Amino acid sequence: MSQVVLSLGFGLVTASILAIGAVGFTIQFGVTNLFNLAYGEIMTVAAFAAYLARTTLHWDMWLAMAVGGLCGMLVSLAMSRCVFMPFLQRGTSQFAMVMVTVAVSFILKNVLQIWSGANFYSYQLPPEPSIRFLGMVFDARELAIIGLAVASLLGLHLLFQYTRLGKAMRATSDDAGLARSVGIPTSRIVSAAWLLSGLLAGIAGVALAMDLGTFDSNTGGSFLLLIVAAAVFGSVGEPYGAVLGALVIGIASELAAIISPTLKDVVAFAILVLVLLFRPEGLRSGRVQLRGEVTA
Amino acid sequence: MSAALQSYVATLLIYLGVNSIACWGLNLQFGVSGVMNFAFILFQAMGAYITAVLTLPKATAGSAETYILGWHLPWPLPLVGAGVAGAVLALAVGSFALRPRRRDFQATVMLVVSIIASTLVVSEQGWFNGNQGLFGIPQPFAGSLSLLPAGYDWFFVALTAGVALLVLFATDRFTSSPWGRRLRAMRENADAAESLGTNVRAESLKVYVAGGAIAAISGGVLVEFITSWDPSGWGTGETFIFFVAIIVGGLGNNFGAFLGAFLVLGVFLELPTYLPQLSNSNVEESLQSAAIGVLILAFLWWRPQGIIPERRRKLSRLVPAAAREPAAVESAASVREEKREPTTAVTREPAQAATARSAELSVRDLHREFGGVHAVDGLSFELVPGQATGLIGPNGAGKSTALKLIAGAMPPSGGHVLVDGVDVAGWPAHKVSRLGVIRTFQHTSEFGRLTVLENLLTAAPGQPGDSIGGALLGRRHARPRQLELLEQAWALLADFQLTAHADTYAGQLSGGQRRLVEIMRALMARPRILLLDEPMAGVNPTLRLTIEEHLRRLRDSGLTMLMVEHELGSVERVCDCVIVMAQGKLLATGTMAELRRNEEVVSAYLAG
Amino acid sequence: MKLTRTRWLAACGAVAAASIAAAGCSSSSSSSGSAGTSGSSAGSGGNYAVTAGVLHAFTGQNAFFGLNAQTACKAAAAQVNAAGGIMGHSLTCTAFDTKGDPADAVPVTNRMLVAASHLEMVVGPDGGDIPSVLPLLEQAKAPEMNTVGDPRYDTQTSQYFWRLTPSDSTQAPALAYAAYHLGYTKIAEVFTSDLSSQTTTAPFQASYAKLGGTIVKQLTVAPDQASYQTEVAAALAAHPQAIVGEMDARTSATFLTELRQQHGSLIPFVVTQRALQGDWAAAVVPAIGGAAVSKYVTTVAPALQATGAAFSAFQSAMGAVKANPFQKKNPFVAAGYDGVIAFALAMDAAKSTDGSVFVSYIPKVTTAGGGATVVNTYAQGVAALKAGKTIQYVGAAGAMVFNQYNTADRPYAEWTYNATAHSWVMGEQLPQNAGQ
Repeated sequence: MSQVVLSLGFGLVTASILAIGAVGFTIQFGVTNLFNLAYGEIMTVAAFAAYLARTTLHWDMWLAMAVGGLCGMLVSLAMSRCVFMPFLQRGTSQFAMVMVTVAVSFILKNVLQIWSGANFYSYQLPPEPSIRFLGMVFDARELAIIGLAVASLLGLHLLFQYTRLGKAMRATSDDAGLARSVGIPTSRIVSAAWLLSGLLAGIAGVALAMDLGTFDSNTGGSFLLLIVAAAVFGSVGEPYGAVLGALVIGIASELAAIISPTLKDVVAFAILVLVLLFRPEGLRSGRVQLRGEVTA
Repeated sequence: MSAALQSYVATLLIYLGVNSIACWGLNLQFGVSGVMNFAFILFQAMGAYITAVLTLPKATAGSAETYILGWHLPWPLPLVGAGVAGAVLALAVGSFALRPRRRDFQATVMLVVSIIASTLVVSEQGWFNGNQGLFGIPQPFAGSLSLLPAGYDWFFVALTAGVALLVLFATDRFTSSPWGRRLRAMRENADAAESLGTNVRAESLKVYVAGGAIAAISGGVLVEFITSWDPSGWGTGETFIFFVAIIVGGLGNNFGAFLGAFLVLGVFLELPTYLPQLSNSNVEESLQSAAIGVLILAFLWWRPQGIIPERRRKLSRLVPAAAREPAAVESAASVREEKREPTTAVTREPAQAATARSAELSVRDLHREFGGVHAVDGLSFELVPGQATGLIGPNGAGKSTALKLIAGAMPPSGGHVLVDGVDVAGWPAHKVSRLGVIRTFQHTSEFGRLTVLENLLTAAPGQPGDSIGGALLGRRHARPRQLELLEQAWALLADFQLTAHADTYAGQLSGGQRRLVEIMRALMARPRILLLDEPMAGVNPTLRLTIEEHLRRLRDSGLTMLMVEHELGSVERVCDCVIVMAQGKLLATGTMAELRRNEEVVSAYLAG
Repeated sequence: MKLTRTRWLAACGAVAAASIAAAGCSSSSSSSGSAGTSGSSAGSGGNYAVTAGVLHAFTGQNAFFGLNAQTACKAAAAQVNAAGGIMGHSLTCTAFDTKGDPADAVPVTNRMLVAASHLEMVVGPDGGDIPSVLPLLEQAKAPEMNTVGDPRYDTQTSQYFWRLTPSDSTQAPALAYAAYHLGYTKIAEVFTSDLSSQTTTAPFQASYAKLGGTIVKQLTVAPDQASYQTEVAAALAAHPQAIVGEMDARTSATFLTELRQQHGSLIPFVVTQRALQGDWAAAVVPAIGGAAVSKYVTTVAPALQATGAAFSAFQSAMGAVKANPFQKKNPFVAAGYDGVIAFALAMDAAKSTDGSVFVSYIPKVTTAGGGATVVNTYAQGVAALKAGKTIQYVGAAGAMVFNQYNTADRPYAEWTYNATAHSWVMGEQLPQNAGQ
């Protein structure tokens, strides 16, 4: 039993990172209707940016994370403005856009690889004492990451419920055409969505690099698998569903490792398959009607 | 030519053959049918593994090979086994990966599957020997022919060419058959195809299975040449290289796929190996991968159709000259004239109007809600067979939604839709369409990269050659019915005065012309109930009158019609009876004149 | 272009027919049947350079194998050429990138056989490619040398396959021996599910049990995961004295970081020669610090001659080709260097650069006893051969005595990490056949 509780604790950490990332992915998808498979690379770039902040500016880790988040915002906006929007305006179909995002991810990942020399990098954070809590084991940094996730999600909730920007995002997410017709400045909302999702990707990327110990140009891309699984689980476009997906997948993976460590990735996969077999549009699909056109 | 050079050239040719086979398979899935198979490499790997397993002989004492069935099947049985394995795997993966309706969603799921499968094969030793893979696979006929090594390589080139020929034959038959045309329509607009009788999910699965089998065969041929196979050879990046190949070479046609295999997989990937080694070769590899990304973007930007675009099928030349004569067209029109009944006053005797063509439609207590909003809220009405009924109401009243529910484009949350007494509520659109319920779309939904004639032909039911088996039987099998349908289509075109555009891509026509194509296409489907979703939207006034004229003639010929429309003038001129909806419910029915006097209706329009 | 179906059929048919014709022609021609490039048969004739093909992955995750092999070859070639070459012919090393998978390795090998002039020896390929590539090299009569650990080659019979370093089937018992004799009698065994790990697990467990040790926890982990917390917890729960096994660079970094975090400090980690590959320390040191690696990590890898003429020659040769610190002290690089020199000496002894001829001389220049003079450098070897003596070349990596299956069973040693020098330092040498 104690093994289970321990794993629960570990799962919470993974789930926290996953939640931040998955919500970012799903917000961007909800507003723009575009499946961005270059999202993982945004995370990687942010991790590198934080690394630079630490090594050249000698900033504290949390400041460096802010730098990573900022970097994520910029890369995300640049991607949408410089690549995705022009392609959409040129008439590329919605599903061909996913190939465009794959191409962008190829380019970003390999440019990063050339620049970083295919080496591993690390923030070299000093070890911290463990904190035992309800049978689970954490260190201060992991608790901070969990706290960060909770704070971010709370912030997002407030954004969506109480601010104009948030409500406008939800409206655009539900029906862009209708939103436009009632005077919501859709293109500004879309930009806001890219910035927000880039920020979340950046934070998640830095948190992931912290948690792993080392990272390289492939780190973000490999994590994208789990993010997609979490987002699909809760129905893509539904932020609360993504959080649920992150919790389920993060915790289930760690629990599966008790039985056999090689089962970890397979668990996320199995969950994804089951969801698709029974609810092809995700668990909360009643809420969202997937639209035909891409807004980007 | 020295022996080493011969081996080298032979190797390149064999790889070209293998890559072509793979590209033809992917082209069938993506180029022709629009299914984005991001797990493509997995099927090639499956084929290679199964071929290896079926070819390996029993383990000899002291051998290190741990995974052998020992069957040692002779060529070509292992390739057949590979094809079957690829098909079975495709069936399994497709059963859940093709369930979401969005293709980019499907693609991402397939990518996930590909990554997971790779992880599993590596960690599960018992499957395919993990990272070590399978090796020592005997080459076909290697022992029985006494050939020198270079000679054997040429022999293998011949084997590969033979297999490639077979695959080419099959894929060529697929793409040029009525089934191929259905797939292309599905690629252009899956919703429209579904509304005209294509079971998109089933057809996508069929294509997935066929392409999977072909990919597996390519893997089988490859492994029989290189004699070993392990996970390092099938990373997920390989899938994208195949995609680049067919995007560059040309989508939708087999020669384009071959060219892509040659240019991308052959030239682009082989050429840099001649460059002097940089001190850090990882840079070269990264540059190459980044270049692949740039290549995808460049082609999708400047030449999305690839170097060799899909060829346009000019079917008009197949229409028998006799049918093209004005006299013949006249007689076809006059046949319809005879069916025309004299128009009477607004209300009509139902018995007189009910011909064999029309059907009864009644809607009972229909509901549909989205996240708390009741788009359709207890709607009930009955259509008079053989009449044209208008469906009007303010914005957001739920009219289009009602139409979609009737046609099966979305399932209702509750209620019944009865077509000739059969409850079709919850049926998928393609099933409903087979009862003769055909819907046109609010936004024009022509199949853009099919010609006008092809658009029309896709809608007609009952075409031999419209299945995998039928397609393989070839043109002779399909031709008689195709000619029949071409005559019918031509007559329609003449009726609507669009014969000049018979071979134009539908996507290149003007908005009004596309609307006409849509209507003609719907007619080719032999509708018994025609559901029109804002047919006048975005149509200029002159064309509007033309369309109204056509719709009146259809009405007069006894077709039951339900027309959602905002242009009240059109409604008045075409429809005998009008239904008013507001807030998801039925508000009133009657003639336009009666409704104009109805206070409730007027206020609903002002309010809504 | 209008490609009707008949034209397609004609084209394919023509290709098929031409192939069969070519096959028939090739079979009837009684030409050399070997690669036109090698087989300098009558020996000399002109001043050509002998090529050693370095056939490895230079890209992807195994790229360090290729780079190490290339460095080793170049260093050896420098020594060979400084002493006058091979019977007057200079030696060059040309690299060919197999990209790490057999589908790419085969065309590259073919191209190497065509493009490289006077290809007489091959350094490589990697383990996964050998089954596909070896037949081609045999046809071309170009012997190859490799440092592959896979035990499936323990009983191989090709005369063109030469393994310079011991097989994993001896690595595993050595690992068990080292762990036991370092005092760890209760251990947790951790391996990743990748190539070399899978072949090492079973022999390791057998040896360790025979020595009397207890494995309190056994784990096979999937590589490159985001978290190993649960696995670490499972291992720690069994209270082992040390962790023994093999994990690749990134997995090790994550695992050890989380181990330290959960346990408060690291526990001793005895690992296979995988840690000696360049990328391992590069990933792990930033994660847990060089001091921690020094204190806790012991690697079991083939021994290297730390002193003597052979070693100094090796060091100066490495300096000449600008090798990095890792490569200078790496037993695999040293083995590759020794291999090239041994092959060159074999050519001198056979007085021929023809692969089919000098192959049988390779054991003759590396076996001890029978009055053989021990030589430590290429120059010494050439001189001794000229004087008519039989030689045994003992190079930087020590004696390289090939067994009947062409594998050199070299002894192992314990290596530890020197944080200031950023390199591995050899410690105690293990006895021959340790743990077996």
